[in-house]
Amino acid sequence: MDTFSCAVRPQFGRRVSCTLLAVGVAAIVASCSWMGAGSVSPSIGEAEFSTGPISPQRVYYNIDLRLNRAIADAIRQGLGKGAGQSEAAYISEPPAHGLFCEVSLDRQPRKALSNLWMLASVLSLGILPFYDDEGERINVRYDLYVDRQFKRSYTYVVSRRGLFWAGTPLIKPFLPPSWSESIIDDQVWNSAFRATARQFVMEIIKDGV
Amino acid sequence: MKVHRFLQTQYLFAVATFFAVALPGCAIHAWRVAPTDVSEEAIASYAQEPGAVIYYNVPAVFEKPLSRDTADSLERVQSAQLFTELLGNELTKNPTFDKAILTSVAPERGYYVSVDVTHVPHLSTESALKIIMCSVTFMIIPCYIDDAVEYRINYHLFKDGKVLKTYHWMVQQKSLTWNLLLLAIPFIDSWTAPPWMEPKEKAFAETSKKFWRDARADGHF
Repeated sequence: MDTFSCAVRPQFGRRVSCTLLAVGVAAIVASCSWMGAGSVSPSIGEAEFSTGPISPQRVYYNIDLRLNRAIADAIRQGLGKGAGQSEAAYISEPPAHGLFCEVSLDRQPRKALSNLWMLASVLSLGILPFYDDEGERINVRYDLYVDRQFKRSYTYVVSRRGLFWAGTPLIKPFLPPSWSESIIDDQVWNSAFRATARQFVMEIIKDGV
Repeated sequence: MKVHRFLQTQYLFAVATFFAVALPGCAIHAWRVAPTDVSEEAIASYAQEPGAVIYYNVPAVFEKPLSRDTADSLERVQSAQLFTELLGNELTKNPTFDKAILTSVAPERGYYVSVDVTHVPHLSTESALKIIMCSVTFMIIPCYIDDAVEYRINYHLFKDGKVLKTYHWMVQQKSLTWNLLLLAIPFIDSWTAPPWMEPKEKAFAETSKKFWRDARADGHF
């Protein structure tokens, strides 16, 4: 019994530690930003909005407060700036007078095949390239109310698509200018939500609300 | 010899199991609104105003997120969110108002209450001595304290954009630390009210009843 356990256990232990080591190395390599490149859309800079019209009215909004706080904050800022203020005013129900929008986020699930491909790429330490054209997609819907009356809905898609591959640095010069390593930067991701809010305010002004 | 060693091992195992099971559960706590001398009035006796709305705000919910959240900041946010929900439920229980609407800015017309929660570090000499006694005896001497952690809940009441008054309430933590507490847990809930282990945010929201009572006594509603 003792001889058996002495012969088998070290081999089993070595296999487990090798697997753990491989998974650990894969996780570290996968977190390296130089292996990834991609784009976040919409990627509209603040300068592009500065020439746009500003809503003369304060914009009230409602969003599920349990959602990602950074995204909710970006939307609040975007709605506020569109109305010439630092931030929009939150209110849980439409006010009797004024512009109000109910903001909802709908995350589109990633395809199972895409998840498998990504996992295989990470486990191969980036040797197997992974490209996701559809990527992460979130529909941002703004339901507009004026004086408690529903007017219409505006929907925007925030998405990020990208490439994960060990050879990414070699092809970077040939990638479109909108592609960068900042795909994993939360600030870039959040600014896309801010852009949808600014776009929404611009559109409702254009629609004559 | 072998039997003796076996018994020794069993004994060590039993002691280790006891400490592993008993020690992690050796402290429990509960939150309560600091008592006052004023008698409670039944909320059902309040006058009704059909269609009346009160706006409320918990500014902590709308604070800007940090660029990198810490465990402390996340706990603070979750606490503020839970408190906001519970406070909304409590405010709608008042028959004077049909609705309680959460907002981040004071409305131009109507009643508006902004509620903030401040942690007040406080520990009396008596409580500090109790903690020391409990610690040096490896928690064999139980330690019961009811003033170690305090929160001040401030209600700033406005009407038509003007400040009417600010009301303050205290929520205190009472805690019991004891090595053998695990054995006593089945009996503890029946000894005390409110029940142990309820979130502090529930006690925060309960202060709204005292707020109603005092604001009514001041003739604001």
